[in-house]
Amino acid sequence: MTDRRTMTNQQVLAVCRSNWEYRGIDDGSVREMLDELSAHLEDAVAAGRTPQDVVGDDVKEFAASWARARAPFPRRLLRTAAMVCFVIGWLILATCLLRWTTERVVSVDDVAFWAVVAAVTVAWELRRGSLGLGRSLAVALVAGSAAVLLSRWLGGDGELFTLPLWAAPALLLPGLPYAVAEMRGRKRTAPGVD
Amino acid sequence: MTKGLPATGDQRRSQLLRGVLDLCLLSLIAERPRYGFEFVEALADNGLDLVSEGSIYPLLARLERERLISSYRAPSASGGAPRKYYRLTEAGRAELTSGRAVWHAFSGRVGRILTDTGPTGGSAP
Repeated sequence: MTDRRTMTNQQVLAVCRSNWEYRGIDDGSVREMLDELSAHLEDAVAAGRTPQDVVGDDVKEFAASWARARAPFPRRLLRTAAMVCFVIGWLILATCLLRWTTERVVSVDDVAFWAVVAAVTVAWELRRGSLGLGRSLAVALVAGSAAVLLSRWLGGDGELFTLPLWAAPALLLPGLPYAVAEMRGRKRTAPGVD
Repeated sequence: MTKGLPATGDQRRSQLLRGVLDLCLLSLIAERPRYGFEFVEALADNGLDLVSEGSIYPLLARLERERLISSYRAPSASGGAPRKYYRLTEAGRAELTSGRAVWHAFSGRVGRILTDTGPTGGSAP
């Protein structure tokens, strides 16, 4: 599938960043790849060429092929799975804290809401780059609400299962080493840090 | 492995280049360390245009994973922000030597077959 729109350098970099993050490339490697691609795009523009001359017609396919070459699939899959669990862990922790309860009842509405929000967010970000906070909230409001309304209309607000509070740290744990490594990596590459 | 016959000369050139691009990159690095854009310029100077310039990056990443090349950051010769340069490792040098031998043997054989000597006068069906 090709993307025939004319994209700017920034749009190309945004799509590549999202694709690499979702494909399990670690933060440090994403920064390195973005630096390299950004420099090449600037050189190409200075030489009278377009971003499409660099990345081809399909930016997503370009990003995917570089991701596949950069790190083997099992390692990327492991990282993505750990980060997904990390996010779910935080969601459980946050909702338990907000409701001041030691367990979280998961209903059909919850699954529908988060599944649709996640699907729309990932699909958008793979094609256009990061949504940003404003658009993310808009997606949650519009798509998420629509999903909840549809699920209630179809089957009602049934409870599926209950998650205890201890499930949160259990889900956070696999993603913790990656999160710590990324924080350290960001500190190392921060301006003014040698 | 080919999927059908290439429709145009450009497609055939592109397929052929894809088969030897890794050796070309290793050979260019053997001359001197380079960064991404310099590879594209060097290939173009030798009459080899890539369908998309960025196609070298997955290949460079694969070569680096296989430890045939290594990378380092250094200011570019033209000034500006530091670039990621690639240089050859000992394993890469050995791979290049072996690849060159394979290429010379292969291209010689193909060249002999493709040399247009005209019909040999065999009986028609």
